[in-house]
Amino acid sequence: MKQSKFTIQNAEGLHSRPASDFCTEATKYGCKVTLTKEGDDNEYDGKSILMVMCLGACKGDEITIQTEGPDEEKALESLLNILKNV
Amino acid sequence: MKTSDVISLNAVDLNMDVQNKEEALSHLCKLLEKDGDVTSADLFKRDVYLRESEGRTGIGDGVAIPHGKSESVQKTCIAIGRCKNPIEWETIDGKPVRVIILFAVSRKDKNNHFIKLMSEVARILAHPSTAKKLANCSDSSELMAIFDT
Repeated sequence: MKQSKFTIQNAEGLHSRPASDFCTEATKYGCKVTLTKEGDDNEYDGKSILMVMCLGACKGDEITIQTEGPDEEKALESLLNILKNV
Repeated sequence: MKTSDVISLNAVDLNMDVQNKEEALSHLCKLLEKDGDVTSADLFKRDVYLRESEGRTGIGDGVAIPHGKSESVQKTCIAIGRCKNPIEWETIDGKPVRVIILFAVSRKDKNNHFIKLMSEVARILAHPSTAKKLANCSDSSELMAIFDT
């Protein structure tokens, strides 16, 4: 299992377009992808656009991306790149 | 904030007789203009299409969530339309759309407020029974009850 924290930089937060880009990328990998946010006890499926939107990540929010399974390291790196380029 | 409080009741049409995405969006934008939620249906629609060009807003199960962040929006609100017959839309599951939840977002709300609103709507849509309820609700009261959380 791999995980990394990321603080949302974009003023518009993780809105529907980057959420969609994130999910599209996540579904390319066989591993499980989970998102959590500080202050929120829930876990959100990173491969579901609805779940990523449920996360409601705004600028300044710290989120944790967790990957588990095949290609977990490659997936995490790729997903972090998506978030950095939002 | 209750999601139902943000729905523009005069911009709800559960019986849209439209053939395609353009007609559906035009219809809903005009309802918003008529209600005073946007100053110009055409300008707002232009901003909706700007977002449409960036990626799919069809989230599956016959639901689409188009949105426009626009100078034309006077008050952030939601218009909802249900088509008599499914229409083509860019969707993640390749299926057509019947229910359109159109977000009209004012410039001042385009950041955190919009994210939180979208999050609340997503939570409701994520519930297993919501898609079916949206497809079958018979009037605005039943529709509001779906979003009344």
